[in-house]
Amino acid sequence: MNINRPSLVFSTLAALLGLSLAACARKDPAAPTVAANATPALTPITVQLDWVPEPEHGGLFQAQARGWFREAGLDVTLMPGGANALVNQRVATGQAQLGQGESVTTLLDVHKGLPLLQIAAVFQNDPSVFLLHADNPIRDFKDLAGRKIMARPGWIFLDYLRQKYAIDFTIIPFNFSVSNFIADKEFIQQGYYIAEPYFITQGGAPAPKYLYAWDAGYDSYAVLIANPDWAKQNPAALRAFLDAYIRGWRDYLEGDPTPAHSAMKQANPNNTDAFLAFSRQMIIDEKLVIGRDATDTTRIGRLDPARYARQLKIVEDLKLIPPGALKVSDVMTTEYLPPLPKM
Amino acid sequence: MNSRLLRWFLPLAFASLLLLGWQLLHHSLPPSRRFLLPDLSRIFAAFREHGPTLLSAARYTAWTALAGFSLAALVAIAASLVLASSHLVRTTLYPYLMALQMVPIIIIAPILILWVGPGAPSVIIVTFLISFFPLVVNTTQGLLSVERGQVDLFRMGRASRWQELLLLRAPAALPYFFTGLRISAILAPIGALTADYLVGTSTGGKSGLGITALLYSARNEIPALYATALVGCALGFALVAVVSALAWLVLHHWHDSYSSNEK
Repeated sequence: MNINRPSLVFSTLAALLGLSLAACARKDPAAPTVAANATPALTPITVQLDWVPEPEHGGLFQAQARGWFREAGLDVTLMPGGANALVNQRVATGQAQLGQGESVTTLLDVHKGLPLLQIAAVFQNDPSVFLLHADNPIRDFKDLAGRKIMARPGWIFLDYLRQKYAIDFTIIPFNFSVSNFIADKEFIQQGYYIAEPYFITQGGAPAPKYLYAWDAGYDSYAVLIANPDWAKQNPAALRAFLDAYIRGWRDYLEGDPTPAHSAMKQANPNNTDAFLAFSRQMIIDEKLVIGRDATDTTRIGRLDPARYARQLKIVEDLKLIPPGALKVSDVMTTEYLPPLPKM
Repeated sequence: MNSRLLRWFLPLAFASLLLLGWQLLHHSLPPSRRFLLPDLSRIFAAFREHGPTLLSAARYTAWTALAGFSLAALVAIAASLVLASSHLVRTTLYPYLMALQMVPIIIIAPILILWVGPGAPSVIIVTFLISFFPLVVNTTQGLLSVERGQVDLFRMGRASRWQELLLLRAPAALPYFFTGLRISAILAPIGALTADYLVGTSTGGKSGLGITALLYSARNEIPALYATALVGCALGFALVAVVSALAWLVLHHWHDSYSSNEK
């Protein structure tokens, strides 16, 4: 956020007085208008990312770097996240029009009253898994009973495991580090398996093994989430965005990833070429964007309503939302995705 | 003369002991765990390797710390004047001043992100909240810590309340104010670093030491993580040095604590 001194002091004071909600400048996502010289004004879109720019945002960065958003009449800002990205809250309050998040958590936020609509897939399966040392005797989720696991305490998959396998385990709050894992042979932690393993092997430990959430029947996506009011007012802009976004993913995975990687390195100088290449290769090898059982790239960005019905069943069974409180159409839509027969 | 030499020598001697202890500890660890306490040469190498990143992060954290700290000092002066003005006001507001310090920052963080947005304004507010309390408590105490006899003297001379405040109470409060300022000077940089971790943003590669530490931690860059910690310390020392110099400048003419008899 670029703010000059006087307004910064003002917003500081205003926040202290609890007035900042009103004082906080909010961009009005105006509908595209046609200027006098007949060049259409660009529609501003802020995308709130869930973490600092990395290959998990490859489609977005490739489309941005190639200029495809701009060609589509969009002025896109990719806003990095961090320890506290608060993607869903920022999208719900209109501080960002779109965000990248996880599908099941988003269902709960919708139930809590946050206006959120899931509009496209990032990964056909959320790559949050358990990381274990390769020689750890644990083979199955049932073996986790009584263990200590470092994970985000709010990860619903943990509740799901407790219920499904009737087990319990101790959770240590996630601290975004892999040091404990490297140092402790017994350590088990949540991780994005397209990122953490790189730093684990760089740290001198052997490549970890994984327990995949989907093997337990936990069927969640990494998704793009939209503010539904904004989506309703800007359907053409959103369609254009998703078109460029899917094109961005395809180009990032099949073509030259350099444009996206340069942008990622600029946004976060800690990104090294070796890490970016590793993470992209994992996304390709694990077919996370095209679908783990896919044979072609037609499913990039696609969401399946049947899978949402299963996700809703999961949170209903966990008593996190009452049965029938939400319908699939309350939480997701495919109407902004490009028409299907498209290669 | 001798004591001056000692003042440099003793901390430096202690530092070399610490470094020696560090190296010994490093080598006594099993090889698989040595990365947790890296060889000192690797930490120095990290300074070279990550120099530009650390420098830009330090600059960002320095200015947010300074902004939050200055804001805290200004607001504390104003608040202390109000608090010192009446016993009633003090009794009414004091619990809330304490509450301001007691509310955990991790609870404020998400609220700030949603109200103010991630980035410098939120970082400055958190730094302000962390630095404010010692300042306001000390300054208020200072304004009230005037000898009864001196007040009586002013009253007998029919001094106005403004004269009493400006000529008697304010000078008396200065040493207290600087004590608060020194405590806050230690808190402000670490506050800004923590705030950056919780409510900062890395937009355009512009982030402070907190986000930098978060990323080094996520990427297991342990030597760089220690380097970040040292930079954070350096910022704290720098701010304390500035405040101490300021205190000397203002107080050394007249205040006991700077008299030459003191060691």
